[in-house]
Amino acid sequence: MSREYGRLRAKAKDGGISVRALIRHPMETGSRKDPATDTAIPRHYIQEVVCEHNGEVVLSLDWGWGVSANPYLAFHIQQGQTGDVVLIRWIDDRGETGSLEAKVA
Amino acid sequence: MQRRHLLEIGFSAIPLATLGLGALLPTRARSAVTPHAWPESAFHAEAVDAAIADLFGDRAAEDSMRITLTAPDIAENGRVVPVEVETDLPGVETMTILCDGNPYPLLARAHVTPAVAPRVSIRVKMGQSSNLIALVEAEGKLYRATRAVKVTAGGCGG
Repeated sequence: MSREYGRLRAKAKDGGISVRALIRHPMETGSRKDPATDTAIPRHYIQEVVCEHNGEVVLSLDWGWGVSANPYLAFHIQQGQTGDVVLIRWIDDRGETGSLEAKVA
Repeated sequence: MQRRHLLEIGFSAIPLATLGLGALLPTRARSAVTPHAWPESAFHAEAVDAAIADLFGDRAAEDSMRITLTAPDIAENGRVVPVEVETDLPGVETMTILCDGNPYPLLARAHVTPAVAPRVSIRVKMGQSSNLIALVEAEGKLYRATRAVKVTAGGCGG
């Protein structure tokens, strides 16, 4: 998947799928100041994340600006096998979307 | 005078909703990715109790040893604190994480389906040494676990 959105690894494990994602996003709280200009960097953060396995939603998350920048997300799909498709998509507070997709290895 | 084409006027001059084109607007409410509404007021609550009440009403949470809340005892960088919430409670619906020392305590909420193990790992910001609070909704009941984390370099305001 496009490196500009991050990385997604999905591995068959224990009859299921171990999923680890690193999403590229600044996740700004709105409290940080740009040291060069001494002005606040505007709040900008992912709000909703949806995780799909072979097209079915298996997990969804509501995030706030308290989630770290370039957010990490890991979870385990109970049943799955190599070749399955895992997709993670998100939308941020500006309506900007992104997604990562991977075949289970 | 030539009549300007609608498209040349610029979107800011015409509220699209009034043209019946509201469905095209990338507004938050319409383009929601999840079937649940993003809990805006809970994320904006500035006190833990207010955030919890906003999400769960006046339901009491039972402290539970069946929730495993994993986080470092000492976080060197408060901007990136790894947290894992896991439980063996059956019928998990949601798992929520808050930090009682943050200006806005609610960090994240996961909506779990039976297709995934009730276990999620993320990384969060902690502004100061304080407590992480995990709230798990399972079979209609609310359960809670807490973990103190010392933060040596705070992570909310930079």
